[in-house]
Amino acid sequence: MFVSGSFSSFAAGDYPPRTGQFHPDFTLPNIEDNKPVSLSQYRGRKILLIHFASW
Amino acid sequence: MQQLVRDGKLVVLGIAQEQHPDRCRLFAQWHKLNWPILHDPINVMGVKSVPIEVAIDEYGIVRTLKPDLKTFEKEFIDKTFTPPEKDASAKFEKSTRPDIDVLRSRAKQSRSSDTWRQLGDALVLWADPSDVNNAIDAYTQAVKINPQDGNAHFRLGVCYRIRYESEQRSPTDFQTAVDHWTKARQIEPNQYIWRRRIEQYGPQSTKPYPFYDWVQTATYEIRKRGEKSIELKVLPTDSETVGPGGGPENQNLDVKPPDPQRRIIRDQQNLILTEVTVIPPGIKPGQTVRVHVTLRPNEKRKAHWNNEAEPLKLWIDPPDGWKVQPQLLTAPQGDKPETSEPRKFEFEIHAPTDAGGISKVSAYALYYVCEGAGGTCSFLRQDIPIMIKIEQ
Repeated sequence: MFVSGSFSSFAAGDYPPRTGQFHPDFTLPNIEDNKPVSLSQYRGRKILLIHFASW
Repeated sequence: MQQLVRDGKLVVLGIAQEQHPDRCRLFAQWHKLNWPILHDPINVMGVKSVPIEVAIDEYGIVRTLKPDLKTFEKEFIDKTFTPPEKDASAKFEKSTRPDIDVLRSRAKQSRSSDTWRQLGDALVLWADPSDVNNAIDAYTQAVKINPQDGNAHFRLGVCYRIRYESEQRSPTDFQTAVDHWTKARQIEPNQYIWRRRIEQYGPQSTKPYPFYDWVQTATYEIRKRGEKSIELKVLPTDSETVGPGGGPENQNLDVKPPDPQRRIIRDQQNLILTEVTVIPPGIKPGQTVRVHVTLRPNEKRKAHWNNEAEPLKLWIDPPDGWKVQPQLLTAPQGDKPETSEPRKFEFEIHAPTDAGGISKVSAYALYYVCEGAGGTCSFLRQDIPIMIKIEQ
């Protein structure tokens, strides 16, 4: 099972995953309320995942 | 994009790769971002740079990296994708918020840096911020087992910086954070998220851009809109707001040392406690470090600044051939006659091309400090040696 904070599959430069592959699931806190949000809870919807920093 | 979200055709999910969630929240408020933003302060996703955009279809399959906005609707939103085969779907593993007790017990039974690192990750992301010491212990175990675990070094550095910004701070926490970030960068020099964390606090000559110069503008513009801006728990330091620049020149040649004959009495009772952080911890000859010096009134001595006298000064006296900018710094006074806030200085020191070994740059602070409520006030000096490691 993937648990948040154990992205062994992303280690050693594997991120981002290749096109045509499942995006591994993850759980991270929402910055507004710290509640857990998983990618898989949006299954059935089209998603744009944006990794960014405010700088 | 906003329209696609409003029409329910797209979910936008942001993942912020920085330490402070309130700074991300301020950024989102400023730009009126209306999508959920998740927080990855320790880079568990393994993202090596930002921005990275990944378009994922309704079955969870990655369809496009760096989607072209012009063709995004036609090529992704309106397109019908084939569902994956049942075997592939069956192998998909769902993620949940981790059980810290389970991870702790697993880590204790193993001799693997991975399990200790994963425990550290769970503690940083999901435990109370006051548990940062447990996260530090877990990552320390990870790097003990595998000293080449760059992820654990980077995350350990983040934890030390978190602790430095908390009530649990130890005076060496910031330097320890920088040391671990530096180790992580040595292990994986192409990891730009890790690299940026050092550059955020480091010398101007290594900065790709100012990191948090937008904070002031954002706050102003949000207030102008009639909104209350998100309050930041930790305001950006000088090094986080200045932009790239050259090395220091001895510009202030006309400034005079405030105690040239060393006559001011030393602060032998440690009424003021000093922390020095050198970034990066080691440089090659001819390179520059940024030095952060924090002076804190000693709580145990009930010490506080006397704001009715001259302000706190810091003088840096580099050896011949070394350059420092600026050489004399003055801290702003507190808003009451007596205050006890930490006072922070930052400056840059440029090593000559023939420097070697560990060099000492002399500096000293002069301040008016009082002990106890309505107690004795003194004008004192504290010598602050700054040790700079020159790597060949």
